[in-house]
Amino acid sequence: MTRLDAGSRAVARGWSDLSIRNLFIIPTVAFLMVFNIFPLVYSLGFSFTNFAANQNTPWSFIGLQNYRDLLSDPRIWSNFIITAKYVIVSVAGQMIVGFGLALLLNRDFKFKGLVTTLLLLPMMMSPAVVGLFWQLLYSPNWGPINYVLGLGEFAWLSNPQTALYAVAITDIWMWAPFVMLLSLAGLSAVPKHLYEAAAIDRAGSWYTFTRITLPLVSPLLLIALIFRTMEAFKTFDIAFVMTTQPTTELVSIRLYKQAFQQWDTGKSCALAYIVLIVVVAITNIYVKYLNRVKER
Amino acid sequence: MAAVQSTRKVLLNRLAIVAVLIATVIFLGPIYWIGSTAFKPKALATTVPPTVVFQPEVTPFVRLFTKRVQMTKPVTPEAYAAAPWWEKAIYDGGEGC
Repeated sequence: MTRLDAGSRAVARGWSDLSIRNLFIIPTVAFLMVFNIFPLVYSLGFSFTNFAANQNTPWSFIGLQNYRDLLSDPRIWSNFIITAKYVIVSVAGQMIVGFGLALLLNRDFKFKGLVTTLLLLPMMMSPAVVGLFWQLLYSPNWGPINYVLGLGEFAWLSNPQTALYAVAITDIWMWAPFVMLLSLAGLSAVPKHLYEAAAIDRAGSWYTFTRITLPLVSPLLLIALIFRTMEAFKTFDIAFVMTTQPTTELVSIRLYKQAFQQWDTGKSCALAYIVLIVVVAITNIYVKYLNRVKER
Repeated sequence: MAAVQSTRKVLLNRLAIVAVLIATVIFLGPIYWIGSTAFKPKALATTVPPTVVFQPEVTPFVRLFTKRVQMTKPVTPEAYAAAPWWEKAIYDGGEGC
């Protein structure tokens, strides 16, 4: 019987736990510490100060003053209301369009793969590019959208009433394919024998949809909803590129202005934390609901 | 399975496929528009109604990838002959003559 030393035994087994730890886990944890955890904690510290990043003047801890100022500022509240409106419109639109497309696509036909890939194209584009060329599409003088809809010289983006919806439509166009992809995965996982059993029992199509399709797809639909709500709440790029209307000033745009135009670093860190708390709260509600749906 | 489907079901299936194709066209419209505008001469880019059928040009790309200066004199036949194909495309497009 030959006895091997510890190193050779590890080599014979393949990867040893020790080498996995040294090669993969320690670098990952170090990277996350440096680039995620450290800025997070650092900005939490700044949110309690009156620090300004562009000035060399001394700064001091002012406790919860930043949070108090922000929460009593009616402008911040109006930004939150605008964001809520935007999130509701764009996420609802994405869910309806995306799930509808998935229902239509969930059958066998020629070029199904090609059509699915083509529908996913908008999702693959850079948000800044999408914002810029939708700005051209919305152009009041020669924009193709006004021509196709026959609206004459309707100003989408310079009209305070419609600017937010125009941005939401762009977001729907860009991200409905994402919802479609997730719900398509959910729909194709529904066992076919359930539909056959329903057909034998002469169940109507609406009954089949609400009692078989919807319950079985709902976990994936909820995951899509979570992702899209989080992303929509944090939307910056599309809205920032497309318009400068005060009615489209989402929280993240307010945050950007506070941090890099007014250079109110401490206050902007506080606002960022408020946004984080809101997003975490919304996500938690969804996750609770998701777990309930999964248990059924 | 397909053989026992009623004609109504087959019709609905067809309708759904047609709807998907229409949706695909709508979704790809903006991408087609931005892609085709890249190959349009400047005058056609902002026409109402948008031009769908046109002679594609490479001049927008040539302008993007080369450094250009305003020409003061019309291009000479020798310079034209010596120019690479992308410069010729610009000259043919009416610039510098």
